[in-house]
Amino acid sequence: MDSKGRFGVHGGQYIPETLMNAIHELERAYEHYKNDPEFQKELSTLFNEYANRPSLLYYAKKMTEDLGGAKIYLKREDLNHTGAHKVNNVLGQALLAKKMGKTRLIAETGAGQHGVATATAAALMGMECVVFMGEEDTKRQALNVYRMKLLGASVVPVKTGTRTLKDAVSEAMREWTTRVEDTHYCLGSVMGPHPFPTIVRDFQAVISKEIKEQMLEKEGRLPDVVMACVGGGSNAIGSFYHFIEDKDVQLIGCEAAGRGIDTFETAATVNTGRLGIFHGMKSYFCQDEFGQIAPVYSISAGLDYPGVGPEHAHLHDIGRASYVPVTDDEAVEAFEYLSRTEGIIPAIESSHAIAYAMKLAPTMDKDKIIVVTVSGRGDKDCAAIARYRGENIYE
Amino acid sequence: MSNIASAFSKGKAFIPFITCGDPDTETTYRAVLEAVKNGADLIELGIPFSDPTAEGPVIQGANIRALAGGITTDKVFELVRKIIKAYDEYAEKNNKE
Repeated sequence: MDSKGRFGVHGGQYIPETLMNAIHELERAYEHYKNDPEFQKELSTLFNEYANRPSLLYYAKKMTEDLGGAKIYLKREDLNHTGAHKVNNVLGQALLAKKMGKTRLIAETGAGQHGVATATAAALMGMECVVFMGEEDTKRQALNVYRMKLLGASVVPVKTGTRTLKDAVSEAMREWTTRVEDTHYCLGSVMGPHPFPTIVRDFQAVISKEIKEQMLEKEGRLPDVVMACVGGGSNAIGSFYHFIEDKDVQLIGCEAAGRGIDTFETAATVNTGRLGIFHGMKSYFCQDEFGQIAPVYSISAGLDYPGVGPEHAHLHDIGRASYVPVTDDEAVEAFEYLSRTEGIIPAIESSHAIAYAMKLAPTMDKDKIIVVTVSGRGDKDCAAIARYRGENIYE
Repeated sequence: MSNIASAFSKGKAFIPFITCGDPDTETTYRAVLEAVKNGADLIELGIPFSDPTAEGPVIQGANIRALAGGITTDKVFELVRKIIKAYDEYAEKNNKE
């Protein structure tokens, strides 16, 4: 990373002046605590004693034999407390906020996973919590709204714009401008203005740190491919980070293509977007010819975002990682396949990565190794997938 | 002295903000000229954006209405050229009087 939070041309701090003080305060605090052994010790205790880390690196034997190619390992972030990788970032940021003397956490959420994780951390640390969620999403994910309330958070339905994730981010940023003194904005992905993409990446990097150790222990060598799904890209950057310097390890991000990258109903930002500035960062965004942010679509609410984290945009530019589109249909098939084959129900987000592994593995030799990160568990998606398949189930 | 510097010649300036194309460019055009006639020193024109992160609910609403009315960056600059022309004519007429 260059100075001022740049990843190549991407990243930066494109924010209203009203947020500048808060961002600078966060930058200074993080610079201090990231090198503080006491902070790191407290964080790893939370990871190991509360969040169930390290997560398993599981050899998917049946899947490997069925596909008949490369050996497939699954990094089981779905086994974390709260059921997804989101908890890694949230525990880190909540601890940081606490050290900064903040008493209140605010967050945006799409499907509700990051909101639930933030509400969980707030409950654990005795902090107030307010979650902003698009009104559309509060209806689609009513159960997660209840979960957040159960954990003591209040949920604010956002009624602006398309009433989905991007509007929830905008609203949380607005709220932060008006109440900076006691409030930390716990951003959920590797996006937004610097230092968020770096902070979130550092807390998620535990995923690749563990994969590397576990892989060396099990196979005595590094994997040939590491892949993960990409919305904003936090589980993917977490899975890639400690392999970026290992040039022989191929890194693949799987984007949500929705109904296909040749349609308007897609959220595949790297494949269909252009360079732009939004939500405090320069990166690739789905937009029209005049730079208006385009409405995006994916079956997965967690990947339904018109941008991508700036470090991913940079890894794409320099060719270090590749980003492939995966459609709704392919993801749903993968969701069902992994459930049936390994007895693991993956989140519909993670199913995008599983789907690409199902295409790639048969084309590789049997002595090659693929690691796929299962970013979350799929219980939350069962009703929606049943409806996708024409079964009339409601939560 | 530039127009902007002269606008502050009294120390303070009256600066209305108008979102372009809310709900159409004709309304914006008329609103700007009325503001000039009623003593505006400077006028700030907003280019509508789909996701105005730093704006409150009133201007957010104006942005959404303007985009729904079909405003684009090209149309905003077309409108500005038309406003400058009308303003120059207005200023010339006033100077003569």
